[in-house]
Amino acid sequence: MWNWIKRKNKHFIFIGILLPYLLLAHPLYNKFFIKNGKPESAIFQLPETTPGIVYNLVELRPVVYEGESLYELKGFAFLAAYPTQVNRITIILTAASQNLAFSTSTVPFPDMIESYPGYRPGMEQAEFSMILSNQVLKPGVYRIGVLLEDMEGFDRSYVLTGSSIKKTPNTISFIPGP
Amino acid sequence: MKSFPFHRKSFAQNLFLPLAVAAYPVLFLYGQNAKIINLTDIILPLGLPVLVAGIGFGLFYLFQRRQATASLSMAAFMVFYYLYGYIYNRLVNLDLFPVYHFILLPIIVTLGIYAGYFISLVKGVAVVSIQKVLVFVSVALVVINLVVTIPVEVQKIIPRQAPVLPTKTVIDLNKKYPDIYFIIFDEYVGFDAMRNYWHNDAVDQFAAFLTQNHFFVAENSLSVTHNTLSEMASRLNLHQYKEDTDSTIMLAALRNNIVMQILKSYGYTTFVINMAFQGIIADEDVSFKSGEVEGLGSDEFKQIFINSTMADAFGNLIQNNDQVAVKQRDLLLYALGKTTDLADVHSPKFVYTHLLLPHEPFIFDANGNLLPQQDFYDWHYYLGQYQYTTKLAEQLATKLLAQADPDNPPVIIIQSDHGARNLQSRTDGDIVINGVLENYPTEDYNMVLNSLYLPGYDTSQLPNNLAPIDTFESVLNHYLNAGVSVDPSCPCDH
Repeated sequence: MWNWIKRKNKHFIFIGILLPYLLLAHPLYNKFFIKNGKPESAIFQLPETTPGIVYNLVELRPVVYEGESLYELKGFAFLAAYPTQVNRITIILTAASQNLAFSTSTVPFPDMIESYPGYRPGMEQAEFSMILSNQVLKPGVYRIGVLLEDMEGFDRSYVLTGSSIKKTPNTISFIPGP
Repeated sequence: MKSFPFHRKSFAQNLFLPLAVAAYPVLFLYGQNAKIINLTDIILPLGLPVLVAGIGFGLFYLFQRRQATASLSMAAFMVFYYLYGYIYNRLVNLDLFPVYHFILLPIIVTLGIYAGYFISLVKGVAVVSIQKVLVFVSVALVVINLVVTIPVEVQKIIPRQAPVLPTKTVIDLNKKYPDIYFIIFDEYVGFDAMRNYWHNDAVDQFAAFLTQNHFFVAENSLSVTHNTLSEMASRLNLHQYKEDTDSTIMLAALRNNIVMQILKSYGYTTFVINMAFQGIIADEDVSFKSGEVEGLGSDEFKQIFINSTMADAFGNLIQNNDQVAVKQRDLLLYALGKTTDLADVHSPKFVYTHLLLPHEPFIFDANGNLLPQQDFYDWHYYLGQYQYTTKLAEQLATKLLAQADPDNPPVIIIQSDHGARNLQSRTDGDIVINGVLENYPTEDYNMVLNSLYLPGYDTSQLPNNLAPIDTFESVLNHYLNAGVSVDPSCPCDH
């Protein structure tokens, strides 16, 4: 047996390198190579839902950002009582397996919030863009929640939208709410 | 340490098989498309596998120390090289587990290496015999392919026949014939489709702009086919071809078309700026060599090989998607700019500009910003590109009118070849892989833009559903008194 292994040592060395690589490649890739679209944090306790948030999730579309193939969720969200207030907008994806919080950035889009019937100038800061990597979500259906916090962090409002993101092993799709 | 048995002649013979296996798929596909793409387009798709085959053969030879075995091993490896894209896409479509290039590529490379290893276990003359048979087969395949390709390449470089002048031409030497601009916006759907399907009333502004500037707009105009070649060949020959007419016949008819022959016989300088078809016989045919500009044909050709081979894993390194969009934009803006920058071209002139706008790839949003590559073939981005195209069309018409000689204003024909076709891209498994529009009416495929600036022409007599093929009958008879008419016996397939 030992002689047989010695005779085939090249193959064992080869497989010995390949197998650990195959096992470790994905977690290492996620940790060291994916720069964008990772969750800000995992959340164990979801916030209480609160009324008075106006939101619209427009689309989830593939984008290339800093050389990475990612997805962008676009939309707008604001407090009905304070439509021009600047908020920190966080998207919370909720599934049976995990809850993940993704930060967003304010990106004015042409003709997005302007289509809102109560639009008035100054509301463009409610338009957001969230970048999501296809590789950070486990397969499943993720309900999309929107968390608004004022810039001082005193007031928090949260709404669970009817929209969701469906992740399969190789695809990701947006399911608009009713 | 064993020495390497090396013979230069047999080394070259053994190297030939992996090189031939590497080159054949590229040469075969090129042979099938030689009429529409340039020889320079195959440099990357051919160079990459040939390089892989050459290096791989050297490595196999280093380990196996037998040239015939290394030759067969590398030929087998090249089969895996070309199967990689199929395997990757198949696994992604099956969607049973996550598929990543950084995992799949090492597995397939390992399988390729082990194929070579198992070949090396075959002893005796069998390897040499198999290798010789395969060399013979590959030589035959390459030669057959060259027999198909060489005549097409020769056709590309031999001087084209001068246009035949119609014998009945009567030129009025005292008459100043107007410049004629024939501008095609490929895939630009008619206004009603834009209003009804997309609910985009912005086209009303464009329609109003055209009307205010004395264009006649045939809003109910329809193309007979929804094929660019048959439409352009028909309109420029006053002879309606069928959609399924042999493309060789239509291409020849387009290249040596009757309308440009007639105009030439009246002393016109003919100038072609055509992004869709090269080789139209004219005084000047602006080159859009895809190899130089990385436009459409070359990119699709490269993309096929990048996506279907191991190069797919390095697609982002080999081809920068942003660069493709930037070059396509530059190409379009160059064509538009050239159309209005022909002061040094002797008048009367006929300028035929064919713009691949709002045709795929959808690289623009409504404001002219570049879209990411994933959107290029997603029909949900047609509207944005259409809106930007409308702005460009308006700018183009404004500039042409501003440059016009008031004593001899030009004729400006702005048309589309066909409407928006909502084309679907499908995999081998018949799965639609691009974004397509839902409930899109098929009758809109034929709804076209047809607007004519005809100075001194009583356009009130023209019908609102003026057929595009009737355009040059009206223009040539009114301005040149050419006495032509559309062939009434067609649609024909000859």
